[in-house]
Amino acid sequence: MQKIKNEIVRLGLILFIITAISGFALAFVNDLTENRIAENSTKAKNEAMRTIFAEAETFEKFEIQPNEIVSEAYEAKKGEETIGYVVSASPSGYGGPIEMMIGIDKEGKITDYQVTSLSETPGLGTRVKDDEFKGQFKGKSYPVELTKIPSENKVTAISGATISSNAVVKGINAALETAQTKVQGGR
Amino acid sequence: MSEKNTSKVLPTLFDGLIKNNPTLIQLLGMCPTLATTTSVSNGIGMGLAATLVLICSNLVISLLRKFIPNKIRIAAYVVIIATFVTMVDLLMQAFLPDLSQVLGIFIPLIVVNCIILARAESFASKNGPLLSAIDGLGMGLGFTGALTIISAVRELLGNGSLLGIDIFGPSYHKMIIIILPAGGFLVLGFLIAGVQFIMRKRGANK
Amino acid sequence: MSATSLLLIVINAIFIENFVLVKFLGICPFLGVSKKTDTAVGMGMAVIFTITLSSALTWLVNNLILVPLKLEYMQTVAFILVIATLVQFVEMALQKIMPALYQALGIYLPLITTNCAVLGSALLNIEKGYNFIEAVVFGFSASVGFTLAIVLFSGVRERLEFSDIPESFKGFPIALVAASLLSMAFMGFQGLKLPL
Repeated sequence: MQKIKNEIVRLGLILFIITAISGFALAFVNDLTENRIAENSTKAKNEAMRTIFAEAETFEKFEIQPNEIVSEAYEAKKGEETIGYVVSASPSGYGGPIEMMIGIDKEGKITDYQVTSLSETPGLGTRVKDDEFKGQFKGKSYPVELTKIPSENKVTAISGATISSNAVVKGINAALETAQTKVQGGR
Repeated sequence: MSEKNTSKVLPTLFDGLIKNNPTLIQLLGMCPTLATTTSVSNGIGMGLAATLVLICSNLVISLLRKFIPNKIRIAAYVVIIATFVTMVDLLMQAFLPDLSQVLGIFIPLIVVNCIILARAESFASKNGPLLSAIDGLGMGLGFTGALTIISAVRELLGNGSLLGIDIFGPSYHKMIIIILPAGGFLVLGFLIAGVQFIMRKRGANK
Repeated sequence: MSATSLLLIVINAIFIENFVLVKFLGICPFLGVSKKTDTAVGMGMAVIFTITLSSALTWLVNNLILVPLKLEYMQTVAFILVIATLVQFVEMALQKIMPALYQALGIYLPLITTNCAVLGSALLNIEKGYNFIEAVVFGFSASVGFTLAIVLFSGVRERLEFSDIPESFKGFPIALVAASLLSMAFMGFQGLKLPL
């Protein structure tokens, strides 16, 4: 009995040592790459915001209730005037989260959106980045729906990329909902 | 001793590349083969990432082979492989963010790519470090080669392009189904049928 | 998180984002164990058990240990260790409780460790930001979807045994072509409009 217990302890210990070495090695690599990874993300977001509201001078973050789709929101300002809002959303797509920055004007209508990260199928899901799909959203307000025939508040999906299209619509609606508070409430 | 080693290097390399190609002959590593071959750049990216992990894990497992007790060898291999996969994942996120995003969840899934565990179990645990690393290189490149062929077919037929460069022009009616999951199964099925056909012919000729 | 949202997770995981036919997770056992329907069902049950438990365990490890200690980069290593240990226990349990199934599954049982569906579901739970209950429900449903695909497929393959297949297509290739057709059939579910 003692022999078996010793054996288990020995095996456990060796496995633990291997895992510990792995942990140290990874902590090292993580340190090396952490900053760069965060920078990549911030850079992409800032570039996206500037593309959406080119005339804006500053982007002020404002308080929101983050949920599983929306993480943060900014107020685009030129001087003291608010020209619009940008909401950061990451709805779940086919291959992973689709990270987008969504531009909303003062009346609560979509102006544009930029995709900063996506893992969708090339040639299909990736077309959510194209103007052909994006353009449908301009001027729409909450709630946007996906249908066969585009109309008032409805847009059509990309053929063969339903999951990706659905994800974008979810992101847009979540962003519109978030911006409601600012659009209705304040200046 | 070293003469024996050098004479084994080339055969080991070609074993993985062609004779025992992990994807087309051994039929391992199906999940990423079907999922990441939607475009040539994705296929190659995935293949090279897996090759890097394969070389490193084969090397380390071979170096440690005398110290890893038999009973926990699978768990040990898996931790070592996972470590290298995480390293490749972090490095790609930092330095190749676009490719990292596109390949998404399939990068951490390299851990459970049957090819890597199979090579650890059947080669690295029984051979020296140099040969094991070469085996990793050969198998990895064989895998990458198979991925490249499949993704070339899928991207060309399904998107009319290769490596993002439009080949057929705007009048080409894209065969979308090839890029969808169903198409992945189909292309792989036909490719393996082709390989089996070639093997039968060679077997008959011998 | 209401009963409706949980139901939607179930339908989504089984049909719309079916692990095998849409997301390409779990292909190796799908192609390897689907020759006979009873083996397929047995494998499916083992996978459902494993993935449901692993969803729970990996969620706990992630949210109670890794995140508070800022060790997210250890996710892959930690999860695969949990899974490898879990499968070891499932193996031992099956050997005692259902030795016939244990024999039938043979080498495919330890191979559940390398089943992309297990690690994949653990990683997806994190990606989708599910809470504990949602994670377990998702894991359970995803593995049910896997089982559904594998059982349907074994039915097809059993029939194929009696067909005249061209030499070069025998074995894997014809199985892949059949899988392609099954995947096409599931494409119909993409049109399901759920208030997710």
